[in-house]
Amino acid sequence: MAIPSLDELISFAEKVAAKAKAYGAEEAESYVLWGQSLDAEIQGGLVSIREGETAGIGVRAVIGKRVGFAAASSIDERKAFDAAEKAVKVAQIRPEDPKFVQLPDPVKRESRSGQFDEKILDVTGTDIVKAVKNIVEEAKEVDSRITYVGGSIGLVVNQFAVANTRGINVGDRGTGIAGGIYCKAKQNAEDRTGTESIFSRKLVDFTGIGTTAARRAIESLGAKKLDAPKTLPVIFDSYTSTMFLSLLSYAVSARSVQESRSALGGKMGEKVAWKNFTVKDDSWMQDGMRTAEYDAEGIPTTVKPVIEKGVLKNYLYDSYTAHNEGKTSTGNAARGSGESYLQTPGISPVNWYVEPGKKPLEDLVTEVDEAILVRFSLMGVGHSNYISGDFSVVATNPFYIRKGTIVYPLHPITVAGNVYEALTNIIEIGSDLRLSLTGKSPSILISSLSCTP
Amino acid sequence: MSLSVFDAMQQALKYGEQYGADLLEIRGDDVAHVTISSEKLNIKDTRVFRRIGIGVRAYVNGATGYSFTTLLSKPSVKDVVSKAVKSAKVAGQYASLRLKPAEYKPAKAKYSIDVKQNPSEIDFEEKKEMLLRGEQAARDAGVDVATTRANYGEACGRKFFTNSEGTEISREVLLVSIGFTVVSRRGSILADAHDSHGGSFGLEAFRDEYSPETLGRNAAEWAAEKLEGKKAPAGKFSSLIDNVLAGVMAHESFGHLSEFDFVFTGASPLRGRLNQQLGSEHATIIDEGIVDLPKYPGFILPYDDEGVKTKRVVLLDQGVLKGYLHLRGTAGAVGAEPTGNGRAVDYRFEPICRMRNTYFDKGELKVEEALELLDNGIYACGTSGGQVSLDGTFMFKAVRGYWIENGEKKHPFRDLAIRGHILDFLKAVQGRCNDLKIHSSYFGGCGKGGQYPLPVGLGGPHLLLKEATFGGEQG
Repeated sequence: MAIPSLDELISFAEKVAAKAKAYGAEEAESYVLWGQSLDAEIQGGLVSIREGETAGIGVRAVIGKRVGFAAASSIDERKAFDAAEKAVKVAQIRPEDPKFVQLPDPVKRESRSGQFDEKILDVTGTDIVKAVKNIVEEAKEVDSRITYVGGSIGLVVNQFAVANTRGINVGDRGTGIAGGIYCKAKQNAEDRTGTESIFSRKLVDFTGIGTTAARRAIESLGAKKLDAPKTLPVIFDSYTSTMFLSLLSYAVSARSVQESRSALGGKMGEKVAWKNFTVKDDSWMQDGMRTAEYDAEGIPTTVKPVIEKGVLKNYLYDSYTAHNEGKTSTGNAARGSGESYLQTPGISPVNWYVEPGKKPLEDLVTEVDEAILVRFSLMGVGHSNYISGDFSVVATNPFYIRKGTIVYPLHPITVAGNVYEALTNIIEIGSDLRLSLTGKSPSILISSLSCTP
Repeated sequence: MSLSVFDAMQQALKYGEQYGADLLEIRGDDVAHVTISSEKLNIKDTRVFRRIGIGVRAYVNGATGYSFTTLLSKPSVKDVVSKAVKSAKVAGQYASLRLKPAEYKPAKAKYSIDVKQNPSEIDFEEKKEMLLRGEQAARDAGVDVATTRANYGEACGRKFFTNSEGTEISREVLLVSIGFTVVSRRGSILADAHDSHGGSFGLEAFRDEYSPETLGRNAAEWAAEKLEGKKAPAGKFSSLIDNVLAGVMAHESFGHLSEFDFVFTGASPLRGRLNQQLGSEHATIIDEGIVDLPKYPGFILPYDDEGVKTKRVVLLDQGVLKGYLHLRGTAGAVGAEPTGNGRAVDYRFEPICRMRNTYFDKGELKVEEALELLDNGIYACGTSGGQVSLDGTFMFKAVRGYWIENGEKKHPFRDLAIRGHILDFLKAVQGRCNDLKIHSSYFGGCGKGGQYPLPVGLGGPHLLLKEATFGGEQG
């Protein structure tokens, strides 16, 4: 299939926004996505390949303080116009939203796109199934105790455009590839898992991640039980430390703050974390998986500290919440991944970036007497209490540290606490930044958390 | 020139004949969604969307290729079919384990769901009123209310299936739900609670115990209670869990492990354990497409996305493992009956092994009797979800709970985390109540293999547990 050009998508978005106005909207916006994806998966020997195009349009129509939204999973002109007409109808019948001010005006300021790798366009199903086979086979070769291996690699090419009747008409495009592998190891009655994944905007060689995941499963065998519930220092490695960012995303959203759902509401300029903890929303990170020149409302994205040296510096705004405070959007309107055109804009960081420390993970380990190291994956992060910040998560691959040395793997344990207390109880931050879907974060050592066998 | 979904599917079958797949399946979606949300009595977000598209799956030599598109023109349909077959041919060269679609008699069927007030025929105004009425009731009943929120969601439409063997299925999709959230705040304590109801029914279902007012009031009262709640304890306690929590345990911790793709590939600990006693005599778990509970039907699914009529599967019968959930391709590969568990979230994905309505079966106990039997322990209710690892380790959040002493509620808890290994959990079930309920929701659903949210039903009666591990914060 021919790939529509970004300019074509932008003019299509303009045309549909104008059509919504012709149907009776006072102002209107349309968001268009066109994406192509190719995935291959091997599950214990079963192979499947999937390839396709995702395209659609979401229209916001405004009449006074009434905003209607309608979407269609198509960029067929007739279906797009239908969506525009429906959006106007919804706006006509819904009640007013007293907090709605207007759709955003164009904002002129510097911004940047992320990497785009033309080579991804040439990858075939055969290429990626071979790459998956490669990592699956290398995992199996690690040890005879590996009983199951599942792997997948998927790539996407996305283009989006936003236009509104106030003059916004922009768009951006990006490429991405991700590969992951999941292994199970068995020894007597003990089952352990090991995982590894890589995210990249450019083509990358996945060789080695199978070996890594399999070794992780093997290293977790021979686990002992944590002898009793204890309050201990906990080191989150660069995989599991993303938990803090997930909860932070919720708390620094201006919408959560304005709606009294954020524990960080009213704390601007106050100390909310350890004195050396700095995290920014780095929307221009060249290799960041969500980097884009414009946000989901067509506002240029920005780079800004959210917490700097422990002090709360910025909330994240879309135009709705910004207008409510007489501000300009920070370029953090987001419509989620996948079928983004079906969503109305919400607020999300683009790429988190946690300022790394100077010491590698191994050095953090040597600094504690008795502690727990939680590695690779946590269960239940999404089920934390986002309002209060209370979390209780299961660490699938914990290790017991005694006198500065990892002494043995542990059976899964529950780690519980409050994320805002934990942020003030950071003792040290590692130098080992890792790129995930949500940005880059290193290992983080927290002075005390409740650990239950 | 854009084709109708039906014509595009016929066209795809025609193109498919030339490409030489062992079996070709075409699916089409035409489903309209409406969501409305309100906050503090203001309607916030109102959206409608329609998802239309087709997906093509080809089997070649026991492996599958899948392709999909929203563009329903002849060249696009042709492209999709050729991609699916080409991918299947490539995949077939690399497979070391192969699917074999089980034999079945091609069916031609049209299925509709009979309700009084089909959401797609009801005015926006009425749906909006339901939210505002429930929210008002919540605000009236609440204590130190910081905010209230309400959500309405519906999915109405049809899904179509046809294959190169002559099967043609058209089935109605119907799912509607409403939910209310209340956040109470006292000083630095934030307490939230939620109640909701949903399933494949008309709007007439939202009355009496499921009226918007009752649901809103429940959320308000539970949030108020949690303001007084203690922090959750950690350790092992006897406990009673409610219908909702029993449902997620049946689905998340046990159901996924019984999905035969996991069993077939060796990922599930339930492999090779058929007819073994895995749980207590009180643990019976069922998965089925159409549940005979008019008030709580869950999600009605007459046929799966591989054109297989959904069968009732008793997974666990009084603790004994009796069945697995099959794809057509895994059933054929091991000589089992297909069960109708091949499901795809929408046209963008190929069917994978999924649950329908999964629940613990009911027993004889009344809830009051179960509380008496519990004597001292934790009564855990509701859930904000949970997670399970393929080794059987699970963790779930109960959103409310009570400390029970001498069979009576002593004090509430804030959030509780319950965790353990599913096989230990099943052995710990020592009693089941008579109050079976199955719920489904427009919001959320099941996630697997990147396919989310798939509507499912889940439920059970109250279950009494000899011992459960709670991993809260100490002190």
